[in-house]
Amino acid sequence: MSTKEIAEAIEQLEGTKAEELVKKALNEGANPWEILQEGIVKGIKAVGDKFGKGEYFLLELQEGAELAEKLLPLVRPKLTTDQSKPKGTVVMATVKGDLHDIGKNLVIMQLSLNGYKVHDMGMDNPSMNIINKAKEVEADVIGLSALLLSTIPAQEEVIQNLKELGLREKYVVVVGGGATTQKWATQIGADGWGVDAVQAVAVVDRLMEKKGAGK
Amino acid sequence: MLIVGESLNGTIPKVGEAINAKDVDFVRKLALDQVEAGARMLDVNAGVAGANEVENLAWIVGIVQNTVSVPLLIDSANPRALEAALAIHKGRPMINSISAEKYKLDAVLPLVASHDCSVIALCLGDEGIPQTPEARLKLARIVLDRAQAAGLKLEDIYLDTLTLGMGTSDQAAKVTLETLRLVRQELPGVRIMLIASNVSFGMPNRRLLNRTFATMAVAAAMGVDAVMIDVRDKAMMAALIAADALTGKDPYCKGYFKAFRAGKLGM
Repeated sequence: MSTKEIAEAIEQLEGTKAEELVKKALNEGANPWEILQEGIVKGIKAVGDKFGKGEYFLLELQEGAELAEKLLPLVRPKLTTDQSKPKGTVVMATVKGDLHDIGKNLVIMQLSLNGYKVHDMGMDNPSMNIINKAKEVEADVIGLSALLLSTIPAQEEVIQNLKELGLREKYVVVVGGGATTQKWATQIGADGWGVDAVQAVAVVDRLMEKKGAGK
Repeated sequence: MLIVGESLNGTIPKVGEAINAKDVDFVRKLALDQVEAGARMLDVNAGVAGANEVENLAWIVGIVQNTVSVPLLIDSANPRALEAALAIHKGRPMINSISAEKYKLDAVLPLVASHDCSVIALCLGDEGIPQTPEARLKLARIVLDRAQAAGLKLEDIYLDTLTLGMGTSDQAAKVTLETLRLVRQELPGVRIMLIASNVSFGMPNRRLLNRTFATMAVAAAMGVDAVMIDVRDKAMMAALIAADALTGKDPYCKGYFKAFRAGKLGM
């Protein structure tokens, strides 16, 4: 089956081959939803797994994500609106005072590829800007990134502000970045934490499921 | 070429543990090993999360200077820690570092200017590390102007054009190499400090990348004035001694011959 070959080509980071296979499958009338789910998404997951196991390096994870992003526009127009509905809406921001965005951008890429609609706020965002953005786009999830020990308190500030505004229960809040740990996330009352961009997807999936179940 | 040993750095987990445990023997041994390997200056950094840097930096300076006779590169962003370390340092140290960041210019530069020392100047501003050689050059001009206006001599300022890790950007080293070439053209007379080990962050076979990058950087700058490396990496030391000679910075190739006779060039 050709979707399996697509997934394998992505896993092996063979971009040209993957693109040819996707085009061929579409021409042959394969189900675009299956190409997306069984081919592209599975391929990305496989790259993520390899990264998680330490077989792939960060640049290879990035290459895999960029490769998959090039394939999506081939498939997306062929999907019905119902099929392309995102799993959830995420606002992602590097917090105030912090000028690091490599990790945040990787998380955005992985979440987008795994079916989330992500709003990228960039770096150095004051707490209230993040909260206002979440309100504006009716976000499900707020993702807060910070690399430095000196800037992670700004993650706590966002959670405090959400509490003060009575909005804490409205959003799933996840934190991450170089200086953060699970212990820190628990301490400041975040809903989740992940060590890298691949884990971020698993964490957000789990929390979204929980949120859905609670409704 | 002034060779600086990088290894007494609290952000390296083992060294951080030794600092927290006030392990005198560990610090002494690391200082001795580096000097024996050819270091002519040692970086000392006591930055350990949650610990008292002011106290720890002075502690480490005291121990190292009781053990070896080379001057130190005092490495901290905390003016109080720098001040405490400068107060007890014997001889003429170098400070790591100033930059075009407002905080560094306001809080660290006056301290540097009021002591007899040299300093590393980073191509870094309040907006972070620029992605283009031109923008890094601009910051270099700012920090050099400010430092000289504060009374520092040009020959006491060692410019670090900064190197990001290849682990997150495949263009990281290239930007630094281009910046080095540009700085040599545009800022004649400025000294250059090459800090090589960052380049391999997040990559496999780090020593190969560090060594190749270091020799390429020496070529791009047509010779550097100082390098900070892991001096215990023998292949790196040999490559730099060769690169120094190959850029015409080693009169009569004396340094190269000396290293050869001491068996430091390998093979």
